[in-house]
Amino acid sequence: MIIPILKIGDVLIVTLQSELTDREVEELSHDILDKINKVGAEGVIIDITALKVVDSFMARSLNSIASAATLLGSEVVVVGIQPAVALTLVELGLRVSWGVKTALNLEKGLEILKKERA
Amino acid sequence: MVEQRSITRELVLLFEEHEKELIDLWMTKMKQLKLIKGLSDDEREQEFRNIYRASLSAFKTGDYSEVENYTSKIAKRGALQGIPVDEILLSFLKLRDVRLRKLFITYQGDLAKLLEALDCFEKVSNRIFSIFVLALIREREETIHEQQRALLELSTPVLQLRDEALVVPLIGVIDSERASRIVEELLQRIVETQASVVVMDMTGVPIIDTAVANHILKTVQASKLLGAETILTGISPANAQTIVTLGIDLSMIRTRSTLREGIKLMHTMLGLEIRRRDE
Repeated sequence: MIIPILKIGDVLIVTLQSELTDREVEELSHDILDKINKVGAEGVIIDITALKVVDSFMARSLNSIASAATLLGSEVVVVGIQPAVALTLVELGLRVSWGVKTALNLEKGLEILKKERA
Repeated sequence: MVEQRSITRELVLLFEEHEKELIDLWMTKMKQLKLIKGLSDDEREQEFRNIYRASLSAFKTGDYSEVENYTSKIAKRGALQGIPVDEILLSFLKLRDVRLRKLFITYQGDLAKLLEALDCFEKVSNRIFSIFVLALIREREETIHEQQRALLELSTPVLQLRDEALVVPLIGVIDSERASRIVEELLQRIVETQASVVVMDMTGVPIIDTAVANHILKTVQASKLLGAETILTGISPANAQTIVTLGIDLSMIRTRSTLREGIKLMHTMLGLEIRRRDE
């Protein structure tokens, strides 16, 4: 499955439409970092509104994408986390280690990026 | 066994025959003791006759289901009309006394027969008494459960204070069941209102231990995942000391001493300014 990475201005937008296999997650992280490097994006928004389940591997991957993106000078915001997913993530014990920025929806995610750059 | 049955039948006959007399005696005693004043004389007589017959049928048939039905009905009504439990129990015990006396009077010339009758009577009477007490306790327990449920629903309001701000005043002891309700409710409201700041006020929380702190941490973290920052307010000095002593790390949460200070911080975070209108 190819996941499109859209570019609007300095921001990349990735929308996940369904649950990914571990392999697909790895490919996606690779693609995102590649694209950041290529277009010099300042921000990345990963929209997971459609995901009803986020497992620990996915959570860890999102975290490492964010860390790696920071090294490339880009900010990652994960948006659209469902309440049930948020509860699961917290129960999984991601309290301290999860350094990813989060926002309720795409709009708010863009706002955060705008604020960061201002 | 045949002997036992015949004495039972004898007792039943005795009580049936003297129903009016015994009930009247019972009523008089109750009046002297000033019990069950909540009911009128007619109602009382009706009730007493029902109890009398229900217990008699248990005697006759050895089937206690009628007594069980009746007692649970009484227990419900007692709870409604505010008749104290001790009065209900005392009234029932009085009926037992009245019947016991009747036994003594009837068999006063024949000790062996009296003892036999007592054996039979005590067995049934004690059983009925225990059914009575159980029914009353069950009624109380139901009431307590209902109140707990009501409390649970009442005590987790999530209020919207500004377009993008929620206030959660926590009151009372927080156990894990309440905590998970609070989290769910809060997350739901964050999604609905698109809130970006949540002020959680702990003024009404008497004790903060590791479990409560853990619940709060989880709530804050889950809200954060939905993009809402949490401000914690109203931790009492004693609780603050407990938190430090227990080594709980709340440093990742913004805290303010009072709800007022918390709301000021909330305004700053939202970029709002409150000013008196120039006149």
